[in-house]
Amino acid sequence: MSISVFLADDHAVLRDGLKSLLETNDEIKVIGEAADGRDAVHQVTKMCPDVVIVDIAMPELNGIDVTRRIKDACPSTRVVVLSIYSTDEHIFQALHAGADGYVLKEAAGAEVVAAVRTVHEGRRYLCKKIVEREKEREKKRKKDIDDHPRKRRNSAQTQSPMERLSPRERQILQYVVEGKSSSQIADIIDLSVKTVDTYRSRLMGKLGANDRTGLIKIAIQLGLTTME
Amino acid sequence: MTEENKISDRRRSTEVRKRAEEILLKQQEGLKKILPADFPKVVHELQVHQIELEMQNDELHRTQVELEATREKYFDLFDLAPVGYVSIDEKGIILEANLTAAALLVAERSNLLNQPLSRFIFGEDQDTYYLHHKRLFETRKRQDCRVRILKGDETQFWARMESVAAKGNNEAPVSRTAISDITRRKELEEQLQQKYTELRSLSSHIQDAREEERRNITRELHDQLGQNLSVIGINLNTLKTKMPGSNMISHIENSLVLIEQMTESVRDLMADLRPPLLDEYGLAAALRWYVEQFTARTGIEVTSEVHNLDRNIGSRIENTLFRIAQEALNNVAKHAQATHVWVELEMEHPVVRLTISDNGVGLSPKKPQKHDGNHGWGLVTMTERAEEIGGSCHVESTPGKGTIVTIEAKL
Repeated sequence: MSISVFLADDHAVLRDGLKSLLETNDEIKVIGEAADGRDAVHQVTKMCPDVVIVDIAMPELNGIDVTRRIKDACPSTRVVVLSIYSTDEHIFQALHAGADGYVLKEAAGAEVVAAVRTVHEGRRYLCKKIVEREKEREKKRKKDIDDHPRKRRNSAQTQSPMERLSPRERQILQYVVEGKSSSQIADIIDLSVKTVDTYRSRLMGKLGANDRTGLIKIAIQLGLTTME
Repeated sequence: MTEENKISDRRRSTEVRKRAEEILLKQQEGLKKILPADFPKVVHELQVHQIELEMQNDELHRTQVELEATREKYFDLFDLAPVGYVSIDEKGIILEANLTAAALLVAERSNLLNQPLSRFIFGEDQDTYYLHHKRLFETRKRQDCRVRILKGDETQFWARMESVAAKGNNEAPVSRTAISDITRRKELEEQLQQKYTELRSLSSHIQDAREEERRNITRELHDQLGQNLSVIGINLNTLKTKMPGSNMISHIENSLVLIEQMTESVRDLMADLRPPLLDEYGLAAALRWYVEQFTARTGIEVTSEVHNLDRNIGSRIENTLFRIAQEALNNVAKHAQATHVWVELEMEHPVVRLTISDNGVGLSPKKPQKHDGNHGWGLVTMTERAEEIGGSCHVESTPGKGTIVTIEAKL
């Protein structure tokens, strides 16, 4: 059974290269190409190929939006996003838009065929480099927790309430427990009263207090102030 | 002594003589009681007395002449002083004015006296003058203000008014006010202000141009170098697939490794030039990415929080806030000796606020704005950048207790 593939990339030489590479495999057939996002959506929604390879950065409509529209129109079509970016945000955005695969351009030559096959089988494909990076990170996270059991920064629950506050929030907490009003605090630190109120309510949220009295109680517990 | 003074002098002595004779007449009764035998003694006494009186008279006369000279000198100094002097009573009426004041206001001195000074103050500056006058009499402390003065010839000029409280005749409080023409100074100030504005706009233009340049280079890197490297990689892979078992495979594989390294370099270069996520995913995403890189590079922990951020804050503001955050974080890495940084980004319509705080050593109050290395410039640049988007930059620091940088911009 052959796999029908559609290529969307504004770079003609790259499309040609990809086409030759993909078609070195007998079961893969490139059935269409587009040089911009809008044209890609237009053509793909008509032919609903098995797999679409789409460049993340394209004129007219970027690869993320193209992915979203293709997935809306042809849910059975698998999408592999081809990208020069390896940041979490790009990967997240692509997967969030419904992409089934994410391949870095420097690895396209080596991995694109595997990516097409994998997504066609209904599984997700992430570039090897990204998978390795995630493994490294996970290893480091575990090591950090083993080395410093009390220093689990990444989960808010394990931090002490004070560690969850920024210096600005701590400063405002200090003034609140000293009995200063929002407008007095606003005068001291040169922010608007509204802003101070925002900080106050965020403080209460972070420390789990319902009102000023609650805040003061917590501040006493934390040793920020003493009962006078 | 002037002729006028001599006449009044003579008139005064005639008057005194008349009064003396009247008194003597009343005392005649007492004189009758004096015995003839005592006459020579009384005459002697009277003669001594007369000489004493004459001596006193001479002394008085000399003092008066000296006083007159001092008074004239005082008036010369007062009138010819380079600044205008006026004395004003509590109601604002001019009691005295020197010639310079008269010349400044282009009025005859006689036309100034008994007039309210407010008559000579330009309409828009009446309130300034009113407050100046009121405060002087209330606080009796020196006051200083700038007002435009209307000249008698309908023209106007900028003047500085400095007033001190004093006591006039009858102990009534008066204001002694010096008026000086500061037109030239004002002009220079305006020129300076204009130059400053020009410099600011130039600096802003340079920043924009730099950003545009970076954007262009990044696009070039992506569209040309990056894309072509990808194509070469793909084509080499095709070759590799098409010639299995060939002795050229190892050359192809070496080239593929090089291409991968080059692609990585291009990507790093692109990220350095232009935050990769800013244009497509906005400030919050770009900051998250940068903060991650920052921690990996410096080992400083960063807690970042984003609250209520609307995606539509405009690319100019996003870009500026990103660059400021970058600058602030780099300052922390270079100078603060901090172990933790907090980056907070929030929207309180129509204000976007970026707060970057650390637990480092704080800024030394001794050298707050010294441009040593890049530190001083860092703060200047952040402020300038914030002001370019109509925002403000506020730095708060306590030695040993870290620094809080707050940037606020209005949408």
